[in-house]
Amino acid sequence: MANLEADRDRAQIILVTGFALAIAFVAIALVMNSVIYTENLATRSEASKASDSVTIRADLGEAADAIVGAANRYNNSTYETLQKNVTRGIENMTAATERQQLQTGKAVSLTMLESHNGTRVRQTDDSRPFTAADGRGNWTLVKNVDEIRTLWLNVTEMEKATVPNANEAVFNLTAQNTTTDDTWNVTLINETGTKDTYSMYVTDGNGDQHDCNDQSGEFFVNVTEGGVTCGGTTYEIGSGMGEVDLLRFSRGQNVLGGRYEVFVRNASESIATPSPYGSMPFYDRQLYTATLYFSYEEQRMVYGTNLTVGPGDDGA
Amino acid sequence: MTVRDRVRGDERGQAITLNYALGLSISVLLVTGLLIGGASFVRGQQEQAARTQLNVIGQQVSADLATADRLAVSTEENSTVTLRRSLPDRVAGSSYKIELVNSSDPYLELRTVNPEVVVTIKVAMESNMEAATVNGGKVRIGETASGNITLESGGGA
Repeated sequence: MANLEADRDRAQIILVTGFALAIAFVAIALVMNSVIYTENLATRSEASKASDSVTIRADLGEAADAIVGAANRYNNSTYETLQKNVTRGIENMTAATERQQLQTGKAVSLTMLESHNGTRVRQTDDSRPFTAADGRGNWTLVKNVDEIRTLWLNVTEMEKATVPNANEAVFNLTAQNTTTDDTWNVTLINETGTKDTYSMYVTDGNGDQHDCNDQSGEFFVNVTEGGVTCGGTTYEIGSGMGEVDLLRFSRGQNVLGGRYEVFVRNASESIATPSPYGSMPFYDRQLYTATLYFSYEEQRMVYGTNLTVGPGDDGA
Repeated sequence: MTVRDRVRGDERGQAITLNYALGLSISVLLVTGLLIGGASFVRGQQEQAARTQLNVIGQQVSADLATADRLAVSTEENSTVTLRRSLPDRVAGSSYKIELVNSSDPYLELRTVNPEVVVTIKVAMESNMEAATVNGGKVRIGETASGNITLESGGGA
């Protein structure tokens, strides 16, 4: 009898031990379960994708840029009409984009905040000299300028300089700061007699002259690329002086033929009355830039930023 | 049966009391050893599990910080960048904290309470950041009013 009671006691201890170990193993199983769950989380594609928002923003920016360009090209009667057309175009585009993106669980919007007015001056007839519409050789292309986006000239023929009146045969493009009276000049002179070969000099705001040697064919003063490039060096427009707010031609009659285009942002009121169609040079009203607000929201991300678009602006 | 017969038939080499004492003590020793070993094993597995989970969570938060940084760099004025993340409330049965440390070599430090496990994850960002400490669970990564990237509690997706 004593042996049986001893066996029962030992068996009870083994049972209790087994029970305690079972509880411990169940605890391990729970812990392992949570680890497996966390590792499964890591293998899901739940990482926030920045590319969607940035891609959509770039696409909408391109589209808005095209809307502004189209409005400038086809509807440039008044600035109010331009702004209204651009706003309506952006609203229509945004409505279509919103519907499309909602199907994938994204809320996208593009709202017009403000716009800046600009003026474009063009001469597209290369048989015409660089004179004003009334024939003056010394004239102001644009004034009250806040910013210059486009400025290029294509000279196809120049008057030959004859001694002793060589200085009378130059052509000057002058960028001026009317507050300080500082100027930045590009000077052309034809000394060889060949109609499309000329010497070019750049005089910066410090008065330093840089010889660009002989040029031929067309040359560009390309503000988008920084200024005048010659001899491997780029001379930035307005270097050595304050902000440029006026552009003028001197002795434009000495350029016998060529084309040019200037696109500027107005500092205040309209720079010039738009020209009748077909007249040269041709002035028309343009929207310089439009500032929009882009908003993107999905389940796990909210992204919003201003967005500035404008025809010819590489930052759009 | 007489007493003499019972004594002659008893094959045990020790007294009953000693038998009990030896049996119980040996059993207790074995059981104690098993329990200590088992508990130690469970504790080790729990720490390992916590470390693994904190690593995964830390990598996810670090990736979100890098994403927020890329978005912040791409914005112009009037910008808003917010990322939301739902993380587990506990790891290996313990609560934990996530600390964003702003130093010359910024990093995330994730720490559980019990067992005490600390995991460090590097963070690579161009934007300025603000140091912050949040509890596990729903976390929000975004720009502050001054344009710095930081961590905040709440707002999980």
